[in-house]
Amino acid sequence: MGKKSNRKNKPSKAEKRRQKMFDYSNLSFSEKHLDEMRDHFEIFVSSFWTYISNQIKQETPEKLKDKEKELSFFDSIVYLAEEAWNIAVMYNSLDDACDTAYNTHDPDEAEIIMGMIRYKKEQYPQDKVLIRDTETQRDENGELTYSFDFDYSVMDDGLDEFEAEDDDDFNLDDWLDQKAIDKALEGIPPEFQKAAYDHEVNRQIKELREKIDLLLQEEKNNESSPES
Amino acid sequence: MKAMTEEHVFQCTGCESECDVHVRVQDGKIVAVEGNDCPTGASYATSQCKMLLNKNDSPAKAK
Repeated sequence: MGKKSNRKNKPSKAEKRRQKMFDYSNLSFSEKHLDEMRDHFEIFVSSFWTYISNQIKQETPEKLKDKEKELSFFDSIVYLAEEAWNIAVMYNSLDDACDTAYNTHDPDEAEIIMGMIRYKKEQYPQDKVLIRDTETQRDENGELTYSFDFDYSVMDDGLDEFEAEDDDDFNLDDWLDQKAIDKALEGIPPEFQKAAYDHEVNRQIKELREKIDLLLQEEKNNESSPES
Repeated sequence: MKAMTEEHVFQCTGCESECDVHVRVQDGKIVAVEGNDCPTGASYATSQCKMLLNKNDSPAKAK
């Protein structure tokens, strides 16, 4: 066997950074964690559904039978669950979450959302991935069903954690496209600036992660290919 | 293999409704929380059920 290359033993700074970022993304979004989060969101929706149904049952029991079958009613429940989950993910502080809930919804809705935000924060604080693309439909048996996807991006405090843990001179700003961020914030009202910033940063991180995956795959392929 | 499903009922003490919250557990994992009149009920029952599951999961202590 030939002498091992020194280069392989000492990865370059760029390689170290790349690996660190890759590890971090993998750590945050392992398949197991995503499966768990999927279960958690389903529990979240089921308890939300019962909560609202019980409210209607207490106020106007005769209305519930019709409501329960309505796709639009089901859709609004799933939509509010998504909203509550996402606000809870986006804001660490309950006060900030409360401000957003009340700024973006009418008071009755906001109150409902706040209850669910507390529930999310109490029971699933570690689930820091946004829900997106919820879709409701009636299946062939007439049952109401829904589907959803995750926004696989690192959330704000995830980034803080990443930067704080990093002992190299890694700076996330070096990796982000500031012009694109500025453009994404153009014309956004101040109360939505943070959400818009998070969204754009998350989008860029997702892109970066895909590039890293590709690079690592290429490296792996190069390593496994026989030396000429 | 058939999944093992069980249901636990917890009476919430979070408000005056004191609702009975049903928590469905499949293969040791919570899969649904129902019967709550408010989010507090759901949260309470989830916590109680998690505690119960953790207790059942913990290995018997050696003498």
